[in-house]
Amino acid sequence: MSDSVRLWRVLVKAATLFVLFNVLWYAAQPLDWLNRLSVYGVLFPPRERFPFAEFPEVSYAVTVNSLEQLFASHAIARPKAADEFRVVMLGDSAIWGYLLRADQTQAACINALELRTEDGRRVRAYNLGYPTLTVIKDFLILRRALVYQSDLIIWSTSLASLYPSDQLDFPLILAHREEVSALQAQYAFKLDQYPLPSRAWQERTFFGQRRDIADWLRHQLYAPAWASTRIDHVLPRFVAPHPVNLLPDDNVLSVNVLRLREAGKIAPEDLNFDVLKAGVELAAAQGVPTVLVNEPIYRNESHPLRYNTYYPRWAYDGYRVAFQQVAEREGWRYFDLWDAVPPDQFTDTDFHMTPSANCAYAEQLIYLALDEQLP
Amino acid sequence: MTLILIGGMALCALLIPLFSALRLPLLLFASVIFLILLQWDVSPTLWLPLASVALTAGVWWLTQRDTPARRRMALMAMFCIIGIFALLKLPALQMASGDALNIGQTFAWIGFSYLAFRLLHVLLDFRSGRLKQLPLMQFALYALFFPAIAAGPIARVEQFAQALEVPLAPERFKHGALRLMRGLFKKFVLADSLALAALSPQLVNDAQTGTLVSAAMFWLMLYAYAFRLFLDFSGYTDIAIGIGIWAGIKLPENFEAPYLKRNLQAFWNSWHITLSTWFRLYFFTPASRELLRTPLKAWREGVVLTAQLGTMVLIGLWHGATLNFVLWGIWHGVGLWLFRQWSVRAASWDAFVKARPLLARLISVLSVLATFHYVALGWIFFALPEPELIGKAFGGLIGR
Repeated sequence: MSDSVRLWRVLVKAATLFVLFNVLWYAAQPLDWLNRLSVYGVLFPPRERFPFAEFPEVSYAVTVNSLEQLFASHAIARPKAADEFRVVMLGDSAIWGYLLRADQTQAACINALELRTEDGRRVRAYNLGYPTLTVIKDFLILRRALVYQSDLIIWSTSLASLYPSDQLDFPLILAHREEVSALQAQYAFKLDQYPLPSRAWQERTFFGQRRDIADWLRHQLYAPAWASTRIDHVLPRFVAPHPVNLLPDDNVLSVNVLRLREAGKIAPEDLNFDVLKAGVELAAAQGVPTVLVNEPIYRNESHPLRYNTYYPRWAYDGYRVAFQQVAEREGWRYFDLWDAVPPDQFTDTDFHMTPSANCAYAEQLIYLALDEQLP
Repeated sequence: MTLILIGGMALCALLIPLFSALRLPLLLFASVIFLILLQWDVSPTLWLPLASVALTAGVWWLTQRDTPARRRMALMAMFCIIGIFALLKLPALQMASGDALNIGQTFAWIGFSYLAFRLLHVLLDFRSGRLKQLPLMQFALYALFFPAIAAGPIARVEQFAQALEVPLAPERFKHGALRLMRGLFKKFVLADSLALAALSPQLVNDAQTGTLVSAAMFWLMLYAYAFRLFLDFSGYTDIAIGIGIWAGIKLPENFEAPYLKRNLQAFWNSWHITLSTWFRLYFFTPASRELLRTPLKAWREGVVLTAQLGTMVLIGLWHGATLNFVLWGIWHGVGLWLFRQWSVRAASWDAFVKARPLLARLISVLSVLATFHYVALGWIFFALPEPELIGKAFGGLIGR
């Protein structure tokens, strides 16, 4: 047998083995159960917030898009203590704590207060925020959080989280597209980007899932570094301040896709309050109350047209009115805390606060949310 | 080496032997191309790969006739190579000539560390009259063979010449593939994964200290580093050997389960074997011989200590001319000397231990663990460039 024939035989054997392995992988889908396993909380301390890393090497974290893995690695997956009053905090980057250490987030600040409810239970808040502006993501998280014996949900949103045009195009949501489709069939949310592209068959093979497998592995391997440093988010030495010189116009950031009833006015139907409603009702069905919050924003008081880079005054004012109307109609516990933080306490964007302002706000928020349950 | 370059090398190694008459010229041509590509990957310049080729040709020419003039020129060539080496490794020298020569961060001469040691070996053997002569093409292939450009091993001329004479075996596809797969798995799956948990200046800087848990984490980082380093380096060696097997040239082994050795001497006989052999042949043995002609010969163990310290410090400096590598060299030099003292004194217990198999096994296991931990602790000097970080790491290990 000549060398070239031997070479071809080696190549054909290698290709056959590769195909066979991928077929087996496709059939077994081991990533599904792999994502339910985590070294966090077993061999190493659990994460205090979901991993989200723009610079993995310095923040000892890697962005993982499986919610099952995020929960398996999170402190909320630990058994609930008998005397624990479990508060789940949902929201975007302000709740997650962008530019804040894990011990400076709103959940951490609430835990530092060491509150006890009237019946003596210790208030323990869990940071289940994730830095994307979409309430669909919150809904996916909420569904899982209810499994972990939550006692109260605090769900913070802002106008930008409620645009029907911008709900789905995020890796975390695309990774759960089948679930989103199932929810859409049940609830018929207003989602401009629906239907999502269906998953190609090759995305279920080992080759197609190699990125997710690598991310799962890297997430586990960062556990010693996380345990050793407690760093999960890089804090730059210099933070560019959020812009204060605003554009002289009154456009919404997503003006092309925001469905307006008429220029200069937002009605409840223009936003995804339907997702909030589904979430509140789902939690209520399991006996878990929800507090909805319009989170603080930076406000430029002197600009005639805009509050900040995100929001023109007409849109944001209309949104607040709409939120209030929906909350009253649905009987929600709702707090409009849009101006609860002084404008000079915002950092790089119109939502992120300084550590001290964040903690002061968190204290205000938890006292409001637990109003009747505190002694 | 990126995966694309490794893939290209593997493909060349598979296809070139099919053209049996042109195998050597094609392998040499591929070596020069990969030398350029590897250099381009790090700092895009053509003159450094060409300088490697010219240096190789120059050394070959120099060693073709044994005359006093050529011997003197060989000595000068050795100083030149060592000078370039020092320039590449010494930060102080780099800074001193930084602007003029445009070196520093951009002056990464890919493969020079290994090329230099091959050429030095040729020049030293030439001067001692032991050199195995090769035709230019085979010599150039020896010096520049593409799988071994970036991470060795440092073959000897006679080893390479012997490998060239071995006929192409059909089993090479299977053997090469298995070796290559092993190397890729070790390097790109295991080593790169362990890197996320391994000791690094940044991680040590960020790590909290002072508790039992933090001490456990430091030990974990240290173990991760030790295995990462081994898997990374031996993975690259497996890749080089696998590609070499496909090309029909078996390169020498560089690792033989070094972390399973029972003493430091055995460790150094199985870790980066080609480099440690080089230093043993060309520095340790001649240096010991010379020292025995000095007044120090009265204290024989002093001769051994000096030669071992010198050898290990030089091996340290080969990795980089900074204080931490000197400390790493001293750590191993002292360790080798202490082992020698211990083994001389413990020799009388050998019969007693051998007569008791259980005790012998226990001592064997403890010896492996002790040797591994001595080596692993030494990696702290290797991994951390700053004395403060080294101090923090050692403190961290004991919970301080």
